[in-house]
Amino acid sequence: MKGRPFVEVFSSALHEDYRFPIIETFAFLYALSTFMFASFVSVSTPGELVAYGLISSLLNLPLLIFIILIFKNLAYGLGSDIEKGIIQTYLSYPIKRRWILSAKLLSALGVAILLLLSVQISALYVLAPDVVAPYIGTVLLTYAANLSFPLLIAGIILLVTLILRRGGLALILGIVLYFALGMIQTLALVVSSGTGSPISLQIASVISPNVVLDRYYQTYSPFGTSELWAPTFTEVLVYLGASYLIVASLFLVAYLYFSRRFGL
Amino acid sequence: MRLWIIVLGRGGTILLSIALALLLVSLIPASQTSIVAQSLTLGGEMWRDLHESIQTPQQSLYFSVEANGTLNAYLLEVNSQYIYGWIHEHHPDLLDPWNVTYLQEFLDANPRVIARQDEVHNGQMARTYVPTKITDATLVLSNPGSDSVSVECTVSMTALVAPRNKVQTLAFWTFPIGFVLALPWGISFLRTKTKRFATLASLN
Repeated sequence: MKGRPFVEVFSSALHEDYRFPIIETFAFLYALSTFMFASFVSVSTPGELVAYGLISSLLNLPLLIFIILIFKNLAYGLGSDIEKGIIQTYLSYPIKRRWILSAKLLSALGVAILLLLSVQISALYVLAPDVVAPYIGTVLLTYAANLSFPLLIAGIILLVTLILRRGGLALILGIVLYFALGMIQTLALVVSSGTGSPISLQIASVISPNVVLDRYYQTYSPFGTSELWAPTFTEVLVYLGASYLIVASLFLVAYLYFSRRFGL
Repeated sequence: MRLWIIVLGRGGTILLSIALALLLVSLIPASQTSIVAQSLTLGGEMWRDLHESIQTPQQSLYFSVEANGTLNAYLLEVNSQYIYGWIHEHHPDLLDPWNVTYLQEFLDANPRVIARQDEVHNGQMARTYVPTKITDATLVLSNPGSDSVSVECTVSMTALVAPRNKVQTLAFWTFPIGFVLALPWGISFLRTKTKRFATLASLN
């Protein structure tokens, strides 16, 4: 009967992570920002490019809001649960430790991702159904490429929170990492342009596959000039897969640490 | 509090917050980007393209047509070059493509390009068009009768954050659903808060 304690931990995590009106505020901001920041390329370009351009245009602020939510849930929420001894209480429940962490992550990350995607895609469907519906694959691919970077930082924050048992330090590290890795992406473009070699862009693509997706659609665009690096669609998928492999590895290490090394 | 009340209630409050965002979006005023007014006389059994632009879902196209006879007004999701190209492709030796027969042939062969079709009888007609994708839009007037018709036409383009009617309708549907779902949870939430305050007050 592991179901009942799992639901108990999950509902308790939901209660802590999304106290009224946190989830409502984020849903409001996601819905509002989708309409406020959506912009369309104003020329007749291929539909896929229009869908990609639309999603890219509206993701900047919502992604930052999403990252704030994740930081709050993981660094502050999980960190204070450890500091207050709530996690230690959960460990006495008759379920495996990995299920406890799964319940916490399902609440902290799963609900946050579900909220972002459901609100934004629904709002986009209201705004431009003929852009979103026929190119739903492109829409989801763009979201997947953009979410990889926040999830990578979430994985690092999770691991640091578990090791240090403190949310505050993990939160600061997360903020520093977010801006540092963001700057590295810009730096990669400058280095690539300067050296004429795409290697730095390819490295940046592993951390943030949005870089490779952006290069792919620049090539695809009628105005695109991608002499530096013109990746194929298969390459886009490879870089996306590689980045999610890194994210999955980080979470796996966190699971292993929580299951085997995390002491009372 | 029971789990299903919490789940439905919080779902309801989320719907309420989304409805509030939609309502706010619909209240943002639209800004007019261009307005063109023109007068012309359309000969018997002739057609003309009056306006063409590239439209996005964040732009609304308003057009009003006033005529002293019977006219057909079409809003087509293609540019005028496409219409002329099609007519010339099917009638290579043609010098005057502005006969309504050719337009009708084009429309019969391409019914999907018709976004709006309206008839004007000795009066005025006004329509607003907000596309659901990025598309070319061409306003075409055709005179099916044999007599000439005088036309006054105004076309204006407006920049929007979102299609107002659609967003408002959605908000008005989402509000009551969210409210009904959130009501049981809201009552329990308020009761708990009141009890807590009463307990704290009695302790003080």
